Formats: sequence, C-alpha cells, structure tokens
Amino acid sequence: MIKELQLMNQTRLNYNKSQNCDYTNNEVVAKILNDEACFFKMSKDDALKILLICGVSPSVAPQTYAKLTSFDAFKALAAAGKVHFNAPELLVAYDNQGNRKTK
Amino acid sequence: MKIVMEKPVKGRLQDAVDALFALNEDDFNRVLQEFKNGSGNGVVVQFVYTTDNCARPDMPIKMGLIDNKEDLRSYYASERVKSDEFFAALGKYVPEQILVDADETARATAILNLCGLDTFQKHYANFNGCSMRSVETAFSVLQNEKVLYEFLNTSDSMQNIVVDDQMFKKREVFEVLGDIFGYPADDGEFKRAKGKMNNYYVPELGKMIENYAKLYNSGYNLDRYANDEYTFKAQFTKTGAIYRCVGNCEFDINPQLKREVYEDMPSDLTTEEKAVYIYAKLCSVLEYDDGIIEIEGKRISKIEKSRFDKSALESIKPNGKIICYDFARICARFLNELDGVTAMVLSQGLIDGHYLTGFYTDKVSARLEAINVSGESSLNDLARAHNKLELAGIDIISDKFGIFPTALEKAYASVYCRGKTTIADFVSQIKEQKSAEAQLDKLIEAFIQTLREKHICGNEATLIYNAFKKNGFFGTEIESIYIGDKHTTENGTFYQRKILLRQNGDENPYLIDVVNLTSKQISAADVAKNLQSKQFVYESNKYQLKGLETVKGND
Repeated sequence: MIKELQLMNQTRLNYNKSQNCDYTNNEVVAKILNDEACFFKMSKDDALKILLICGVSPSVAPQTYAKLTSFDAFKALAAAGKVHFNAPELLVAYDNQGNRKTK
Repeated sequence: MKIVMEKPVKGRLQDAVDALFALNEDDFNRVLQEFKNGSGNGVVVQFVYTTDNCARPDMPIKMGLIDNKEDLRSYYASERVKSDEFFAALGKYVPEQILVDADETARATAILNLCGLDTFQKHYANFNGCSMRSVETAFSVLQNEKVLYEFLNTSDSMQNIVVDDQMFKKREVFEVLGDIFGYPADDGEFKRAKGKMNNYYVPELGKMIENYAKLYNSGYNLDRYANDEYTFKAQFTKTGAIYRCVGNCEFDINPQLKREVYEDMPSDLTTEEKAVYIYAKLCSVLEYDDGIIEIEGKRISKIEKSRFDKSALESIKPNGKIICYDFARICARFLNELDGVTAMVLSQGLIDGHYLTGFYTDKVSARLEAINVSGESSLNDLARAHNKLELAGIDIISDKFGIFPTALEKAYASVYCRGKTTIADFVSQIKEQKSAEAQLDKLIEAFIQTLREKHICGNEATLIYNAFKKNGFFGTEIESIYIGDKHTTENGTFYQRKILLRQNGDENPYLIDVVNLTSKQISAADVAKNLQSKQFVYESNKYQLKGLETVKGND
C-alpha cells in the first residue's frame, strides 16, 4: 500500500512539475512515506491531508486511511520489526488483542 | 648436534654439504636418527670449523660429528648454515640435476625425506594437539588450485566446501593456515611460514605463500586466525595483562535496561552494526559512578560494589551508575547475546585494575573502552555519548572490510537521532494548498512518466493503474476497460493488452499502452471502427465502454 502511495505521490509530483505548480508538498510527503509505519505516527487529519497530496480522492481517502492503519497493517509492520507495540512515537497503535489505541 | 670441519674450502654451505657426505656410515645413521626423532621446530645441525670461536680453545679438537656433550671446545658465535639453505643445497643432488655420486644422492634423499612438508605437518599437529588430517587438508587448499578456486569463490566463512568428495571445513582450514602463514608484515610480505618452516625442506613454500596471500586478500578475514590479538589471546600492552572472562559470573541484564537498549534498535542492522549500536546506546544511557573512592586498597562507593556482585549488576537500570567493571561486564553480556559475536571482559594494567570489553566476529575485532579517555580525546565515551559526540573508545584490531565507520554512522543516527527528522517534523513542513482540478490528459502523461522512471511496465503497470484508479487518482468519474490490440508478426497474430480510459461525459477515451508506456487520446469513432474491424477486441464482453460501437460515423 505504501509503495502504491509512493508512486501516486511521485506521479502528482511529476504532474505539478509539468504544470509549473508548487510540488514541495510532494517532496515532503515522499520523505514521510519512506517510513513504512508513518501513518501510525501521525494524526488522522494529517494522514488524510497527505493522502490528498498523493492524489487519493477525498471520497476514497477515509477508506484508504482505515486500511493503512488497520490491525493487519500494524501486525505486518510489527512482524517486520518496523514498529514496536509500545513505541512512544506511535499515535495510532494496537495491543496484542487488536484493540486500537490512539493518542 | 654439530659437524666439525677443518677449515673453509668452498664456503661454509658447500663445505657443510661435503662434510655430511664425508661422514662414515655410523655417523650418518646417527644424523638420520636425529631427524627421525625430530619434533617441535625440526632438527638443526650446526656446521663449525676448527677455526671458529670457541670457549675452550685449550681442549682437544674432535673432527666430524659430535653431540653437545662431545663439544668440549664449546664452539660459539660462528656463522651459521641456515637449515633451509642447507636443505636447498642438498636438494640440488636430488634428483640428478647435476652429475653427482650415487651415494651423495642417496644421502641427500634420505635427509630430505625426513625433513619435508609431511614432517613439518606431523610436528605441527603433534605440537599443537590437532589432527594430522586437518593439517594435511588445510595445506591441500594451497596446493590444489581447484580447491583454492572454490575457496576464493565463496567468501562465506561458515560455508564448508566439498571438492571431489572431500569436505573442507573452512574454520579448521583457516585455523591451521592462519596460524602458520599469519598476516603480512609492514612490507606486505607473509614471513611467518618461512620462520616456522626454516628447519624443513619445502621447495613449494613460495607457491603456497603466494596462494595463501590470495586467500588472505579475498573476501575472508583471516586475521581472526592469523593474529592472536584478534581473539584477545595475546597481551595488548607491554605492561597490561589480559583477563579473559566470557561465560562465568552469570547474571541477567536488568529488564528495563534491556528494553531501553533494544527498543529503538533498527531492525536492518548487521551483526557488527548491532554490536556498535549496543555499545553506543549503553554509553548514552549509563553514567559513571563518581562517588567511588579507594580507601586502603578497598573500593568504596555510595553503594559499595564488589568485584562481582550479581544483584548489583542486575539492578543497573537506564541512567544507572557504573564503573569500568560494570560497564565491561554488561556490555560483554549484551554482545554475547548476538549470533556470531564473542565478547569478553578484559582487564588491563599492572594490577588488573581497569576493565574494558573486547569483542570479535568473523569480520571484525575491537576493544571497547567506555571509561578511560582514548588518544588525544579529553572525554571518555560516556561523556561523548551524553553530548552526542562521535565515540573515540573503539580500538579496532581488525576491520578488513571497513565495517566500523558505517556502523558508527548508523549508531549515531539511531542513538543520537542525528540527521533523523521525525514524522511530526515532516508533517509540519506541509503547506496548506488548495488543490486545483487536475487535467486528465496531463495526469495520464505524469503516470506514464512515473512508470518509466521506476521501470515498471506490463502486468505490474496494469496493477499499479488499478491501485491508482481504486484510490480515485484519475478522478471518481472514470471508467476504464481492457482491450486487446491486434498485432501480426512473423510468429503469428496476438493481442496486446491496452487500457481504454474515459472520463464521464467525454466520449473520446485515452488509450494507455502499458507495455511500451505510451498514451494517446483516441476518438470514439476510431475505437468503434477498430472494434468493428476486430483490430480491437474487448478482453471480456462483460466489460465494455457503453456506446462506443454506436458512435456516429460507424459503418
């Protein structure tokens, strides 16, 4: 999912460049997306803002966000050692039973 | 054993050879017996002239072979015939490289047969308590080009090799070869083997050293086997002793300290990088106990510490107070938990009064000095880590592949958060912008450009397109289908998948070629014509862009 968002963001960056529009937001988002666990480390509002910058349509963005921060996504990242269950920088996290905790 | 010669005639070396040949049968057999009984570093026969210096010139001269008890004159300080040169001189008589007397050939052969490579191997195995088989196997790597080639082409030092049904255990081979051939001197020469074999006749030694150099300079780090410092077997200061302590004095690391150290450790570190990270992290989370003092040789602290106090060590938490002994032991304990790492506590100083950690892997060896200042630094590594300064206490013994600089950079990035911008920092950089309605044609061009930049095409590009579409990237009022575009080549006719994409309300769709990564807008009439001519076919009749077949202008 992150990979697809990275490509979408890159495409929006290419688009903005071709239209002589400001693409600094896309550059910042590219850096954010380098962290596969980034959506667990930000608020929902910020996440939705980033999804829109990537080119996700406003009507689809909430569903996309839900997938990005699902328990399955969290478990996959935890299994790969990319997030820790009690890491302090997490704004969205789960316990072992899949109970969602948000700060 | 000495052979006394009258006076110089052809030079000491040739005179020595002649003297050996001139011995009577009984004396020559004594020499042979000496070689047969030889062990350790081989047999040395001294050749002296009656004119050489001696302690007792008043004593009678005895010519020919004498043992040490018979050396009444005690010859000393005379120029020596080096064994390897003597054997090389004898080697000229075997086989008949020059015209020689058959007896001389027989004698030379008899001597050389008793001091060849196999004799060295036997002496080495006996002296070092290893098996003859393992020594022979190790040497065969240097003597057999095929085996050497296999070694040079697999640099994993744990992976054993089988050549012609013979198993070569790399560790065993390296232990023997590293010990015998060593590491290069300052001039780049491998001199150790010459020293070890100078009492043996090994004409192929030069070639073997050449092959060992290839092995040494390949993807293995043979320092581990060639340099006793690597595994801390050797003393590392002239006055300092090494106190090796690996497994005794068992204790458990405090769980809070363990959590603190491992919590933010990046998951993609190599073994050596993990070791450096742990050292840096421990330096940053532990503090020196300045309250410690010595009274009449007894160390007194705010909390009195003994040399080994299990409960005291187990109570050391993040920000806990430590002295060198505690740090060395805790650090060694952490490092020994890593696969492939051997860590130990080393003591230093005339009275073993200072402690540090040593660790080694297959690739590196280093001492970790957290407490005492190193080099010209005025700060120790605890102070450096607390102030996010580069560490100076890692004393590298071997790092053939330049692992430490990278490991340190990664440790600084993680432990000091150096160069690390948090997600919140990035998010704060995002500017508020109103997004304008994107133009579909330009968006498709940008999409194609991205695919080209990322070298994505074919089926993968189709999947990416679907993900984009699902997220509404091209807009929500988008419909698209797959069509097959007919191509005829000498191999026959086939249909290449293309994407036909249309914005609601726009009758002229875009045609995306995910193989050649091109796109173009095509008129609805052209699509209809192509459909009717079967140039285009729908991939599935279930999925069609409605109305295209009946576009005005169709026949």
